[in-house]
Amino acid sequence: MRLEGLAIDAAWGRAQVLHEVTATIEPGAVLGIIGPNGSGKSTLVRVLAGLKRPLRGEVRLGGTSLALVNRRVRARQLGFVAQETQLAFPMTVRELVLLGRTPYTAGPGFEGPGDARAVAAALERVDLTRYAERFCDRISGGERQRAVLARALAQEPRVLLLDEPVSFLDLRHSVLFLDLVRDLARDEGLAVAVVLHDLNLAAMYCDQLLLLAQGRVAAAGRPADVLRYETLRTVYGTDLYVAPNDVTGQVVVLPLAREHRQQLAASSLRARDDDGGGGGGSGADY
Amino acid sequence: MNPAAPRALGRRWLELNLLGALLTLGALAAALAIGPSGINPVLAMVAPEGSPERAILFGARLPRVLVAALVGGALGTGGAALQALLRNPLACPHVLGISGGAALLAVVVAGLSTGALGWVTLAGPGLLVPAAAFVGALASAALVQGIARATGRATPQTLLLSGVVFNAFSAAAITLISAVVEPTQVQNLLGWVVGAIAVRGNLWTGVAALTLAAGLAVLVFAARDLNALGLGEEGARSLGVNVRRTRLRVYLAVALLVAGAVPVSGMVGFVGLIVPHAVRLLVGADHRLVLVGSAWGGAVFLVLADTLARTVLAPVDLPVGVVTAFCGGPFFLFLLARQGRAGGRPS
Repeated sequence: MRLEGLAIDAAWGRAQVLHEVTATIEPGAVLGIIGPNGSGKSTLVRVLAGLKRPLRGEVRLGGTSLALVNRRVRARQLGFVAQETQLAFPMTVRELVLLGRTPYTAGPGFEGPGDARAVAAALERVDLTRYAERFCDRISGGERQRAVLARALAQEPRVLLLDEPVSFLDLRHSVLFLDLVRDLARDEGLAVAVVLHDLNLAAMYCDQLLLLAQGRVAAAGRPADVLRYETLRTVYGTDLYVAPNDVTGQVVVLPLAREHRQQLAASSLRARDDDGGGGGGSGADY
Repeated sequence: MNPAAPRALGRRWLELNLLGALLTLGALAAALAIGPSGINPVLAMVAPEGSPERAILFGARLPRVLVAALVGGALGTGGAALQALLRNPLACPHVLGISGGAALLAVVVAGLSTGALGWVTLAGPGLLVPAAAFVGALASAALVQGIARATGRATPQTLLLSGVVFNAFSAAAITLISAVVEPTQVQNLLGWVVGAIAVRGNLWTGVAALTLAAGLAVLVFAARDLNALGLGEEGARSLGVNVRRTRLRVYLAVALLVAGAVPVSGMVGFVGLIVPHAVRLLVGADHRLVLVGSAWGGAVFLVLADTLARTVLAPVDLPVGVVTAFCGGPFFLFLLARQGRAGGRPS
């Protein structure tokens, strides 16, 4: 099922944080939402998830306006994973995942065998079956984030929205988590959007990228077209090293410390003198 | 069978209610048998009509232990619901000042309604006092929610502060009223402030039973939404929960529970704080179990506490609030310290 945000404007109080942002999340593909702090990434996923009402514009879920979809029906089609989950009371992994069945059970009733199967399948999918009876504060951060993903999968959604899911995870758990997310898109046809800070992970895992800057779309398209030296240097406001790597063929984006930025500026100045002013430094040439 | 498997949940619900009913009946029987007058309860039951033993057992003890059970059930349930709604283990009707608001308005209305006769009695006519307690509870719940909203979220600090301020205010106002009532009513008013089980007629006992049933029924339907709120407000909304409606339901149910309890007990503290924690240790985090468990647990706890209050310094009849505060005060500090240590840790 396709999820589209069309010309979205959104605001917190009086501060408008999104200006005419259009984003399309296709089934079977991963859309990466990237951009500097405060560029509106988290706001955009919240609008797309139906958790925040846009000022103007429309979110369409499979062609229907999301504003018209019943909230329980929406929760059966749209799974949302936040950066971190604070539990009010100690809960086992299975109890956490079981919460994903909330939109399927009405009133005071108890879950049936169908719900138990969905929970077991979600736990199996994220490889946490053996930790099902552990308390959530007794497993590692990476496992906990997979448990939260399993909670979203227990909703049996067609669209998955993830807000910086790996920001607190180490390298191994980050790639484990994103491997899993990409497989969900490829193998099960889920439409996935994921907010990422790490541009290298974005280059590696996403089919499409949406680069936000100050609430506007600065670039959109395939990773190779979005992650360009000039674009990134302008949007992030700092000099970078951008070049393809030998292993994956995708670009590597390396932020530079002050001495390297100065060195780069000096060399590009020299180059300009030599060539009679032939443009700024290309990161790939550095 | 693994404790959290969904298929077992229905059976566990039945088992929990069976256990709760048995424990409550046991506590009621013990409370009926124990008392300063030292009558033999078995002999009293078969004693002839009109004998003093029968009068003590059925006239004095039975109504009192029933009221204690109803009040305990209401406060335990209310505490469990508020802790879930505000995502805060320190919340309960007393700490949040909801009991205080209910007691204050109830006393004022009781006083005013009989004020023409010079503050003669605090019993008040008919349903006026429970109704006033309901309005007072709703008003203070609205205040709590306003404070929680104004400060962004219900942090322990703001909750504690609002509760402390509100309780101090209510106690001071009731004490002020005690300055103008007849001397015979002063002891009665002290009972409102500290919390004392007081049988004030079958009507108010009946109201306490009905509001307990009604409040519990409303909360049972909100139990799944309260579970989802364990993920936070945004998490609950992403699961399709109407958070605003859930909040309204919970405050309404808690106001009902408190309105039934306050006219027959005043401001009994800490029941709603201690009981849900003990119940959670036993049944886990699922509020379909925690809410009913807290109803039974609250009944057992307050019946036993009131029995202790009646007998420990006999013939002095201590207000039960003294006993619950001696249990609850240290427990509250323990929770506060633990929450301070765990603060900010993602879990």
